[in-house]
Amino acid sequence: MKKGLLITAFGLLINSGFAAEFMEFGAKDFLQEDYKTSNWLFEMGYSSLPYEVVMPVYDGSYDKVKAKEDLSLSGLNLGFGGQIYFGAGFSSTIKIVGTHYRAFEDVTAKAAEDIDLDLVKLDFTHEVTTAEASGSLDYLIETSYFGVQPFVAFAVGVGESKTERDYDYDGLSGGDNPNPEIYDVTSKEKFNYNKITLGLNFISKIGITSFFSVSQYSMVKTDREIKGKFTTQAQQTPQRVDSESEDLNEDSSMTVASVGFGYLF
Amino acid sequence: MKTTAMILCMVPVLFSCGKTEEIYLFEKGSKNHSASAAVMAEKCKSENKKLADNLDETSSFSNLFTNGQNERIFKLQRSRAYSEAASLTDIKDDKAAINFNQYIRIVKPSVEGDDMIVQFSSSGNPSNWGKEQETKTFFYSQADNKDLQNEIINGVCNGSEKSYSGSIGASKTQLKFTDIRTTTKKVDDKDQIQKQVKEQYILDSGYPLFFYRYNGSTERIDRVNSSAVTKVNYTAPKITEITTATERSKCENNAEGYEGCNAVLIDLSVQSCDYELTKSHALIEDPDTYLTYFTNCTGN
Repeated sequence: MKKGLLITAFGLLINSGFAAEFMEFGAKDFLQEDYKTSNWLFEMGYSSLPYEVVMPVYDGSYDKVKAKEDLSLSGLNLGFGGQIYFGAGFSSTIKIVGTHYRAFEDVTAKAAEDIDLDLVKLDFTHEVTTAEASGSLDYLIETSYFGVQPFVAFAVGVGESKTERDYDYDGLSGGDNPNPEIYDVTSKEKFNYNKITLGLNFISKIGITSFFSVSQYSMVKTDREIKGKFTTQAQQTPQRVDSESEDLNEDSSMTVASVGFGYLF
Repeated sequence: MKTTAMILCMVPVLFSCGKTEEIYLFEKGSKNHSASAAVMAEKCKSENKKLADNLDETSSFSNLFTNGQNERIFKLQRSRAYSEAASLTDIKDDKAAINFNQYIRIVKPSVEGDDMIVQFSSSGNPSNWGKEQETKTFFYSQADNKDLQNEIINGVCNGSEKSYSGSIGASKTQLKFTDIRTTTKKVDDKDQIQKQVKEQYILDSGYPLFFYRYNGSTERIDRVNSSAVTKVNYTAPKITEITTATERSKCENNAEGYEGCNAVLIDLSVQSCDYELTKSHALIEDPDTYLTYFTNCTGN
């Protein structure tokens, strides 16, 4: 959330101060009357995504994995398209958007504050990449200083998710859990989605925009591949957990919030 | 263009989302805590095996005497500074120090495996400086040497909160270790130091290992009462060996620069002490305890 606010503030700052020098490509002569013309659009934003991760269940001494777990990712999206002006403040924006989300966790567990013995290492990385085409219906409200443009957008897209969890416990001779443990699993998923978005653009007189939006995703996971192995205290021989599911058809939905800024030229 | 580059560089920073953290698993006193300390100690010993091998050499006393030597006399030049003030913060470390010498004579056992005879003396005014500086003779066995080595290495490798902290020289022939023991009392809700000993010693495979006690620096703080604190520092010595007949003659005669040396050559029955080792000393907080000490001294 803090990052979102930071991005918004950052966008507004650019709107107000540094617009003339911002991204030295494209036309610099966007005028207020260009509100009511068709323009190209470049935009960059920040999104927060809750994603349901599916992994093999694990009950280790110092790491537990549930079969399904909602994890939060944040990502950068880049979009490019065109805004077609119909008249009377109405326009439509057609664009393609690519987004890369990432979350990570890097935990080192030492025996105790007074014993510098590394016992557990956990590396967790989750990445989601999406690409979509969207079209929106926009309505422009002009003020003396900038344009305010509420919009509703529809999009279809495809995406991939990759989750890697690497847990390594060295074991502790004489302790409650003497044997080493590992959980080294990678899960990959492919999915299709469609979404509806409600949002608001703020357009400065020089074509810099900032926006925030909320999107409701309807997602169908089509493919899942899991590879890896684990050991536990009781089972020291690594157990493989390889599986591949095509035509998965798993439905899920999620809500994504985005903020960002863009450039009309 | 610079602005563009700056903004693009900020992007990966802004969008990295995650956490890196270090956590601790076990509470002090738990079974797992003890097991971790034991594993840590074994790991430490294993990593420092070369040092242990070199120190092992000193437990065969004949290795300490070469070229037909039957004795060795060492001269330790150091200084002692004493300060007193109303509070610890008022104590100045630049008080005039008294330079003095210590002498250690080790005598080769006539039969390998027998005890080594050790004689010790100090110049200056040792009688006012405590038993540690008094002239003494003691018997030191190979088992004593091995026990001391184990005690110090275990202390350094202990891994628990109270332990010796140590560092090993590149040649793997020396272990420098530090021990701090403190007692405090709550005064106005703050911990006030009542006694504190800071010792930095060097365990060196070039000497019998009891030598550590004389090869290092110490600092002792004592709160005498609510308005008086004393501090005594002994600096690390410059160690030389008396090797020539001239030097030995000067020692016998307590010549200038060798004051007090003659005492290490006197009759062994005078001020004979028992050498003792405090087991698990690294874990002890009491500033009035020492890893090695002397008891049953005669003639004092």
